[in-house]
Amino acid sequence: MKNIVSIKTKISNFVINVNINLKEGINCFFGPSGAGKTSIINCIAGINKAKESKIIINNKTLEDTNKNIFVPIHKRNIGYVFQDSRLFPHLSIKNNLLYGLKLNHKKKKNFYYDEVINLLSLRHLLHRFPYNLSGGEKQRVAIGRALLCQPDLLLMDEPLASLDQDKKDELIKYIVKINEILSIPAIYVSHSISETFILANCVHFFKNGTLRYSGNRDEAINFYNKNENFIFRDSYIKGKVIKANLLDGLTEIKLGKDSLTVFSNTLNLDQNVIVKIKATDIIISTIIPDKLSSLNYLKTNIEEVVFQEGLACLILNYENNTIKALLTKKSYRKLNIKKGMQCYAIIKALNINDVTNVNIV
Amino acid sequence: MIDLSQEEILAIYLSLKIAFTASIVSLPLAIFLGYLFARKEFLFKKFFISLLNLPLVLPPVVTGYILLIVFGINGFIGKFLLKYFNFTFAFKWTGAALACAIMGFPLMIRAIKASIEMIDIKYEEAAKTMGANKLLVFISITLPLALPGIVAGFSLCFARALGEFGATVTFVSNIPGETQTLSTAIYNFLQVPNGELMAMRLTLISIFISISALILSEIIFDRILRNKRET
Repeated sequence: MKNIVSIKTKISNFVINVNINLKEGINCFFGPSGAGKTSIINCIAGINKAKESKIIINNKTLEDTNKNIFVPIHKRNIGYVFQDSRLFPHLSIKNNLLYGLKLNHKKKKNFYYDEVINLLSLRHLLHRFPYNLSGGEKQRVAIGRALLCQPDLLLMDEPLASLDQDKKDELIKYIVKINEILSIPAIYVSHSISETFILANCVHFFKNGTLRYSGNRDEAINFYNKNENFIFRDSYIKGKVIKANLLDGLTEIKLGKDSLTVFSNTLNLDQNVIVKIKATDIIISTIIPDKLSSLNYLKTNIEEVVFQEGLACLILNYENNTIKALLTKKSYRKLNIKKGMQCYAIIKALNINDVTNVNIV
Repeated sequence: MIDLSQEEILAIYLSLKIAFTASIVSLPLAIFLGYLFARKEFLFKKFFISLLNLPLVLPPVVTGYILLIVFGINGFIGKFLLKYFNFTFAFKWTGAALACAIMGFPLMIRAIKASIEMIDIKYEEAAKTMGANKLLVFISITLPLALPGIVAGFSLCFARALGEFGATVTFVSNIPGETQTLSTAIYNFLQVPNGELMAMRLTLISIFISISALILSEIIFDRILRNKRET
């Protein structure tokens, strides 16, 4: 199936120039605010008109400026979940869900009403109106409504942006569930890297209106850890829970040859996880740490040292994973650190509190 | 008190008939123009809006006189209608309805335009992404969301029509059974000796009708708003 988006346009003084190849499953568009992510999906939906464009979704050409093709919004067959949900205030939840279903009843059905309602737990909301729904409930309805239009492509524009952390975690679980039955490609716009790594089958990095990198999740994690080191100071590593609910509330996660002990009782055995390690939480030792309270130390190689903002950023290689550690220049000099040296990265179990479940495909 | 004379019953009936006709016939046009003024930009837009609002600021007698000049038997449109359609507004209840419609139209269009301006077009955009074409978006999203303004505009126009006096009396005079409404009948009774009692009865009736209409529109308004509170 061919899904190609190629857009060249200028919005006031901002230039967008991208060629994107969409993959199956959830494609995350990641980048800082103002990178042009929303403008791109608005072009795909037909809400914005690009100066030069070629958009092919599900083998159908929606836009081709060379051939003068521009399919209007309502004929594009693209489900759009807006950041602000946009449920119709005058219609009940049921009628909101049916709005698109009725308009598209002739299409081949990929998503059935009952299935969508059960999957998103909407049944108890059906007779209510948008105004007395919580933010998370509204977004669930918005996702259901978009799926019931039987789209060829699902667009989600930061659907979690207006929710608090608990609601975010809850909605993410629903989106993961949706992903399991998703037979169409989806685009998920986000500026949160952890959201991106949880949901993405494929990640597209954007910056200043250009596509910097596209790759599957593992490639994207590597790219993120290595290349964006000056802006983002966290590292993400894949692992698997090998011992859960140990004494003292600890859990062990296998990372490569070693394992990482974290303080958490919410993880289950054999779960695949992505662990976030903050660069400022790492202590570097050039000898094997001894008589130290910290439960974790990883044997790493110093791949590179970068100086930025008066600090030394060590890029460490740990069994082909990249971990970043931030030191003051004084510490850097004290240890006499050199590229290629071996060192131990010490991480307190208590400092690892961002471990997210993922189902690695 | 309930024992109304034939003349009084006719005046009440005519008042309601004229006011309803004026409001109902104006409604589609007011929705169309309200949408146009709220959403589109075009040449002389401000001029057209001012022109439609003119009856609001002109003395009603002037509006009535202009109607007489235009739609009267010798008026240039009146002549045409009589010649080709054998139809005239002059001294007919339809003429009274026309006068009322023109007087109430600015109020109606004002309320409708304001409520359409208030609608966030993002809802319409969402409907389009779901496969609705322009007409369907208008019918299923824009109109229902503008409903409070439409009801308000309708009741304002209806109230204005019910109370209309100056333009009506100038344009179609005060003919019992044809163009005599509550207002003109009350005025008429006050001009004849011993007419005060009749005038008072009609006054009470018109107060009753007006209050009923206001309560009804409040009830309708409430019902619409109940499910439509902005999120």
